[in-house]
Order: sequence, then C-alpha cells, then structure tokens
Amino acid sequence: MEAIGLYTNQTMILTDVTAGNAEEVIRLLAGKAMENGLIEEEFITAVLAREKEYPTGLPTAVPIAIPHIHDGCLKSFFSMAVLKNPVSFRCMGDPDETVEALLVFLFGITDPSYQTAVLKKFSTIFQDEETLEKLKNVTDAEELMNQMKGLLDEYLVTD
Amino acid sequence: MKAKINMAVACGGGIFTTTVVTDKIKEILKKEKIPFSISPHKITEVPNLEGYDLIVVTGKTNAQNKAGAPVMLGLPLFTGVGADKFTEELLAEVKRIMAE
Repeated sequence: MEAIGLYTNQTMILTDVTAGNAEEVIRLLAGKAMENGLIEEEFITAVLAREKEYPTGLPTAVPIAIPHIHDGCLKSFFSMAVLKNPVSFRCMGDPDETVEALLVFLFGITDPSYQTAVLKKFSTIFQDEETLEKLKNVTDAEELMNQMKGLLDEYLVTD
Repeated sequence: MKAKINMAVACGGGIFTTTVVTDKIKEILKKEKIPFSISPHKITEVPNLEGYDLIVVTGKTNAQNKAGAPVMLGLPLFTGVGADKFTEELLAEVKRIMAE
C-alpha cells in the first residue's frame, strides 16, 4: 500500500507554459511523469482518450482542466502547468462547451479510495477564487512549488 | 415509504469527481439524518445500473437508467459553482423518492 498523498517534484511543476491545444499540455505534463518513472506509456494513450470522451475542463472562477486516470499509473502523483496563454478544454459538465483554461493539473491515481482526503483537498483549491487567481499569476516555478506545498501540506509527497 | 436512499455516483473515469462528490453527498445526507448507501461507478455503467433509487453523474450524459432511477448532474458539488442550489434540488429529490 502506498502512502496517502500525491507525489510531485519541481520537474513537474511548470510556469510560463506555451501550448497550442489541450493535447499538447497533457503530453507535456505526462512526459514529465514518464521521465520520473511514475507512469507507463499506457497512461498517455488512456488519458488522451479519456479527455476526448469525458473531458475535464471546469468553469471554475479561473478556468482549469484536470486530466486524470489510473490506467498505467505506477505511483499516485500530480503535476501542473500555469499557461502563458489560455488553452481550450471541453467541459466536464457539457462536452459541447469549452473553457479557456489557464491552469492545468494532471493527476495519476492508483487507488482513489486511498486518496479521498487529498482529492477533497484539491477540490477546495479549485473552489477558491482567490487561490486560483494567485496560482495563475505565478511566473516562477519554484515559487509555484512553494505555493502548492503550502496549500497541500502533508498531502504533498516529494523527495 | 423507504427506510433509506440507495444512490450511485458516476463520473467519466470513476476517480476524481466521483470520490469528491460521493463524499459531499454523504456529508449532506448525514447532516439531514437521512439513512443512505452510496456507491461509485463510471458514467458508461449508468444505463445498466440496477437497484438504485437515484443516480448522480458529474458529466453530461444523455444515458437513461434502464431500471428507471432518475439521473441528476451533480458537478456543482465538485466545482462549488451552484452547489447550494444543487444541494436543495438533491434533497428535494431524495425526500420525494423516500416518500414513495
């Protein structure tokens, strides 16, 4: 059984990201997870397929997207990108609508029943306008990592 | 009259939103002292789920439950946008079903 909490490190917490579309952002973040040995190739195929069928854009105060899946995930983690320019993601609530996401969080979850508390913690971050505003304006990746450490506290697992 | 409400929560992957929304619904029903059971599922399973009084999904679906359980879109419990309104609607629906 793995620890409660999501793994991340500085190589997966990105600012000032330029991407042309949703797939590019997902591939960038998943590529970082791959380099860190957290996922198998299957994850990338599965998360992209899932985004097509069940998209993850959310019309929160600052629009975000939260691609995630458990297929091919070896260790529960999160990664994130603050986008330089907004990227369109189709909405979870209605795939015919899109949001212009400024923040993208990519998650791999091996066993959701084990991570209820940390997923709830993330949902409170998504519900807080002030926090999202602050995050979207961060341009320094180390600063972003510090902010996430502060927000997630013991739920953030790092080296 | 039903002694408890038997609910299913379903999202695209059965992971993130399901986990959070299930937890929120548990809180709501506990607060109202309504006896319940609740299970996570994937949206693709919605048409064929059996034995549920009410199904809450977190992504839009045109799928109907063949066994006749009503389907509600519960994304507000995840994003917080419109959460109070949805909570009211959910409780009204739960109470209606329980009174049957």
